[in-house]
Amino acid sequence: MNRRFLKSLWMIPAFMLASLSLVTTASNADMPLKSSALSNTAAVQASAKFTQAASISVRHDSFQVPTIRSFLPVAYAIEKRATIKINGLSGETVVVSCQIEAVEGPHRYTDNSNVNQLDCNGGSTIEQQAVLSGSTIDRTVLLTSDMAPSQGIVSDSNVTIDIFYI
Amino acid sequence: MKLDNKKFLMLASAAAIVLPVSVVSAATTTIDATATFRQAISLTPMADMQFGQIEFAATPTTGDTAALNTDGTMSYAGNFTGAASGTPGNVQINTGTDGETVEVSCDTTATMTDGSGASIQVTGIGIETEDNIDGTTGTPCAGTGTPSLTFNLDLGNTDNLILGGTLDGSTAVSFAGGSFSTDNAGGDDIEVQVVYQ
Repeated sequence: MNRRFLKSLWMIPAFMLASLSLVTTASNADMPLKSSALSNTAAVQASAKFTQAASISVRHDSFQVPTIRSFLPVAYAIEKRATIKINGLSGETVVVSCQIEAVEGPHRYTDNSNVNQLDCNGGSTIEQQAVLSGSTIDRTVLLTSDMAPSQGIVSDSNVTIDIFYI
Repeated sequence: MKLDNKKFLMLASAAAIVLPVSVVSAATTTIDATATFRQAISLTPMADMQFGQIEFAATPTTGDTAALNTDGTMSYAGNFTGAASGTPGNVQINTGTDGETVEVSCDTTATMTDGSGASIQVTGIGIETEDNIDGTTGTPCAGTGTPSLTFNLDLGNTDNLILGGTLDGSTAVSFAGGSFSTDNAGGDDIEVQVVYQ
């Protein structure tokens, strides 16, 4: 009986120590607050409209003036007939402009109906045209240069035609 | 012998009474509790990424690109040409706690479609805070969950996130021109995520 009693007495301090240990652990540790995962998302859309680039096909983009033997500075008309093809997206409107380089004197653009005759230099607008179905337009232009040629050859005068959408 | 047992019993009882008193005293240590309150982050898409009208001279392929920079300028390569400027994406941080560090992550690519089977991707998507925009597509996005930007939130100064990106002709599928959007069927938009560090 005494032995049982002694055993029970020893158990009290052991239990107390265990309790003490638990309390100490809890009291020493600061209670951490977990970082909040507050976040948000947003969706951004992207858009684009793709249009086939307008372009011009010029069958002849240069012309050569034959040798002219003349001692008189007489105005001389040089004509070049060129066919241009406008490529673009049907329904869009394009502006065509042209420039003739390395040819002296006035430069003219004449459309195929000979109604409009406009200066053709410095990127002047020569035509504003809605691209029709089939996405191409054929135009015959007359590039005229009135000049008084000197002896020799004036050749490979470049004809530049630009086109862009409006 | 009986007397000894009595003495021992008295001593043990006394010890049992004294010991618990000291243990209970240690257990009353004060525990502090702290909390930091941060306002929830909320975002609003302010502007979609608009590349505008792009002209293509031939079926898009590798090397044909249209880059929309965070400052709105555009640059082209290959068979793509177009306007000098577009509209970069814009996401606004509406609410949050100033001074707190936030991390921003975003999708690396987006897919635009015409809704009829054709598609082209926006690649190299980048992002910047409004006070750091420039003539580039921004700090490259690395996918949602992987931060591209880390900064201290300053509502009013750094609360607009600007997105740039590049239309990549090499990703074009069944392409024949027309209007493309991530909002069309089969499209995939650009997701931006902001989280407290």
